[in-house]
Amino acid sequence: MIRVQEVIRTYGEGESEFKALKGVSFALKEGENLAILGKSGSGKSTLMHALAGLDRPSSGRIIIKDKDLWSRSQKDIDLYRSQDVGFVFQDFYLQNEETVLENVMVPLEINGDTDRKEKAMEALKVLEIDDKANNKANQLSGGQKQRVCIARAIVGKPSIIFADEPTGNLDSKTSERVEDILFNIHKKFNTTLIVVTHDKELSDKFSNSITLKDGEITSHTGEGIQI
Amino acid sequence: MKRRDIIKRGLRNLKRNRSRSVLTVLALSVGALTLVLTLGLSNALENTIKTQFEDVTNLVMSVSLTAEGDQENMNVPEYDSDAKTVYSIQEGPDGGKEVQLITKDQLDDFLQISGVKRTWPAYDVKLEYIRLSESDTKYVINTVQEQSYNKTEVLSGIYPVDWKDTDIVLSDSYADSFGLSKEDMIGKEVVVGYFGKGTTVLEKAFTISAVLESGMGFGPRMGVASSGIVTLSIDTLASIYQDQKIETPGYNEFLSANVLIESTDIEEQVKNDITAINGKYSVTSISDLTELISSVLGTITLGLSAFSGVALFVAAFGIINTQLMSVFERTKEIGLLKSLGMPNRKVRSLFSYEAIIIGVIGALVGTGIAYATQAFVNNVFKEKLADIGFVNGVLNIAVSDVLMVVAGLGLLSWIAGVIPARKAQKLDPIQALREE
Repeated sequence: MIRVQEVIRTYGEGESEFKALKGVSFALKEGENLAILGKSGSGKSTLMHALAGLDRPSSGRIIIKDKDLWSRSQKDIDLYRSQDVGFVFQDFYLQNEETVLENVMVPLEINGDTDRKEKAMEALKVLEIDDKANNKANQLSGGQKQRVCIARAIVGKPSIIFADEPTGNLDSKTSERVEDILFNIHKKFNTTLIVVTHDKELSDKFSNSITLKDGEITSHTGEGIQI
Repeated sequence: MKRRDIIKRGLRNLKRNRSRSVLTVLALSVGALTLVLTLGLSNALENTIKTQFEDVTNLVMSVSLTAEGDQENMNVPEYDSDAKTVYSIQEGPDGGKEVQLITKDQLDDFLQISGVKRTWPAYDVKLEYIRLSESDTKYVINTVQEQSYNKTEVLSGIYPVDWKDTDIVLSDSYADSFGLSKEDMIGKEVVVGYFGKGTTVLEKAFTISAVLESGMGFGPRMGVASSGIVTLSIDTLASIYQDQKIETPGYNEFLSANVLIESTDIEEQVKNDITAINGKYSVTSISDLTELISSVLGTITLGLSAFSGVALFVAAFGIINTQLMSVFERTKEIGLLKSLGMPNRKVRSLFSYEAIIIGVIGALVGTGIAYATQAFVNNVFKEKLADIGFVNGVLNIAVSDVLMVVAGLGLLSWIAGVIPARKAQKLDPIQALREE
């Protein structure tokens, strides 16, 4: 279970104070998929960053694997990000000068893993892009880049994948393919999949969803989620 | 993240920004080059001086007696027939000074000091000519030297250890004059002529024991004049002095005296004992000279190193600049690495290692150029350098110095890299990823 309890995130102080999250609470079963739907400024990215161990909430608790994420040591939070979590970004964040293979190996490098090449090639095969392994990242199309990004997210065999507008920069046909890939991985590896999007159509494809508005949950759907 | 991977990543980053890395490395290598060359030059000078003085024994010390009068006072001192004051011109930083003449009795006092084997004054004798005993052709004598207690290199023959009264050592210029080879000179009978009292010319017969090269290098190896040098035993000089000066005013009064001691260990002891007799005695030995030269060299090295230091200081700013730009350009990469779980500490190490790599490569490039310069200068000018005493070349780069420079530059670069590395460490991953 992933439990989010009364999470508040405030930016700034005094008059310029801005509450991005105003006490968000929910619980999600492990292995489920979840779409966090909301418009720009709704707090959906802030929520994802808090869940992913990137942005410390001002108050509240996020319990993952029976332990509050944000009361762990910085070292453990770093370990959580490098071992339990995979990231898929809207802008891919690939290192353009480096090869596809090198890009995919980065999480393994951070973890100090061995057999990196084999593991990275395996991930590229899952994404059916192993033929581009030795190409520079900047030689790829948008869809290919996103597949490399997903390969990088799954290479460390994480238990949760966070995707921030994964199809935001892709045309509709490529978007569909990337969506299928994400769902396939979610099912095949029993990975928890949490996607942030402003796209209602995309969120409708998820078993569970929450809708955020001005830092509060306004509605939710699905069996796997409890408010 | 393993250290090896951090270093590998750092190397990749430096490679990606090749031109910038190369320029920073070059700036550092200029500093390293001047520093290594300075140290190499200083080593060469020190080595050369060591070889020049290698043969010089510290066993002979020179004693002079400083004048009684007030040095600051420009007044003419009162006349005292027993303590005559003369102006002695000395080579060295002091130039000249007023000294009192040392008498034979004073000289004999030194013999009472334990460890003193022999004392003798600086005999002021004048020789007129030298000729082969079988010939009437006379040749000029430019300089008279007293026997040396130093190990002396000869061109032919054997430099006497225990000088006999009939021993004589000549400079090789006489071989040409006599029309003999250096080897044939040995064992030849020569006659030296000098004025006794008045106008009577006296002659003494000698046998040539050795032929010396007339002057090479600098320091004690080089004679006063370049040719026409005659070396005689102290006893012979004493007897000629007797012939020339007895019953003349100033007889047995000398500008300075020499003291032969048993071993260098008691040098300080004997110096103290001499000044205990009279505080006005000033005792100098070769070790004073070598110490002076060493300290002058040390100062010069320090000065030159300071210039290299300035170059390195400037280069350090190059590193700060390069690395700050690198952090700025790679904001997104830093954000990505952090969001993928790379600890802040490791991000900092990444940038620190990059700075250190630049520094070490800079040091190695500079050292490489320095070694090339050494090989070039020492080989191309080998003979010219040997002529002026630099037998082992004018640059002697020591491995220990190189290691020191490499380690020092690594350290300097690490320090220069602290500010950029901190900046990278403090970057907020979310902000970094958002940056356009």
